[in-house]
Amino acid sequence: MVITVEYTAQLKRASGKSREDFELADSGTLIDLVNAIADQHGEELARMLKSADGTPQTTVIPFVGDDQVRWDASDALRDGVTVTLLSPISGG
Amino acid sequence: MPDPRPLNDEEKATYEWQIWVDDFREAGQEKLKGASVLVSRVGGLGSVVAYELAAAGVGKLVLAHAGNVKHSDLNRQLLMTHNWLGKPRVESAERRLKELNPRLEIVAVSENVSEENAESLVSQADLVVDCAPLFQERFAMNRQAVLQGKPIIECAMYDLEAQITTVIPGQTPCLACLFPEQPPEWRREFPVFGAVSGTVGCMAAMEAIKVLGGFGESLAGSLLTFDLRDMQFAKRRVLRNPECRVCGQI
Ligand SMILES: [Zn+2]
Repeated sequence: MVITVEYTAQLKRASGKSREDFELADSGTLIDLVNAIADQHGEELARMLKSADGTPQTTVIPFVGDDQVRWDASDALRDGVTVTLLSPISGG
Repeated sequence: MPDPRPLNDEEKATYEWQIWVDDFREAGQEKLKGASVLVSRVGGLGSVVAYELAAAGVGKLVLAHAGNVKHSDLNRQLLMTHNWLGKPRVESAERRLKELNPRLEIVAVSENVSEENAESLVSQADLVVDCAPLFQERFAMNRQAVLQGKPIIECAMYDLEAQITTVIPGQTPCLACLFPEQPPEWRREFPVFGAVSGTVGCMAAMEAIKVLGGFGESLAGSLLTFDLRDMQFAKRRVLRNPECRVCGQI
């Protein structure tokens, strides 16, 4: 299946793009998606998305369409959806 | 929520045009007059929040912001002025707000919100608008707002992007539901135009006015995200975390 990923804020800056497509196996999960993104991009984006133990950063919020999903949701993805990775930002 | 306070003739004249808003009316204005709001800090976001709330006739503002006015504040912190460089920011904010609305009661605190002062600052307000740049400050305010059962408007921006949500303790996700820990990559300094922080500030002020006035539909349970680079707006549904360390037991 093909998943469109949208990056926001610092994630957009680190990836160098607003959105891109990833091809995943039909059984692919959000964890597989994050691993694919980390493999394709450099160390900086990988560090923003994954903690030292390899699990997704809890401060990056994934959305499928406009709905927040849990990182461990097993059936969140299907062909053609857009996943937005929301970077933590703050005030000032 | 606040006890309404009757308007005098000057207030009826000042707020005449917003009292024309059908589901707000004089009853809504009386609620604003009786209300108090904590704004922390009064920088790019908070200056505009405080200015709009002062203009709208909120009765009391509690402002918390440390430090003196610097050149690099002046592209966005609209309550700071060139002639106040080197002098306390919170005094500049108080002075400018009083110029607009001399009836406004202001508690000006020359400290940023911390674990030590959050309980006292939040206790002086009916509602909190979080405009702080550091997650430690934001977490301290969120914890106290949830403990004291007070709504908190969470606003943030980076570059030309922004996020805003309204937390109703026990009903919607709180800041710690969304961000359970300090983001490892967050730095205090970030790219920003005043027109971006000002846009978010106006939206946060309108959220506060709606929640205090009891009208309209707030961003409770929703996160508005937008990017002014391409004018993409999205209203997204966010989830409470049943294991949240702040609101999980409420
Ligand atoms: Zn929570």
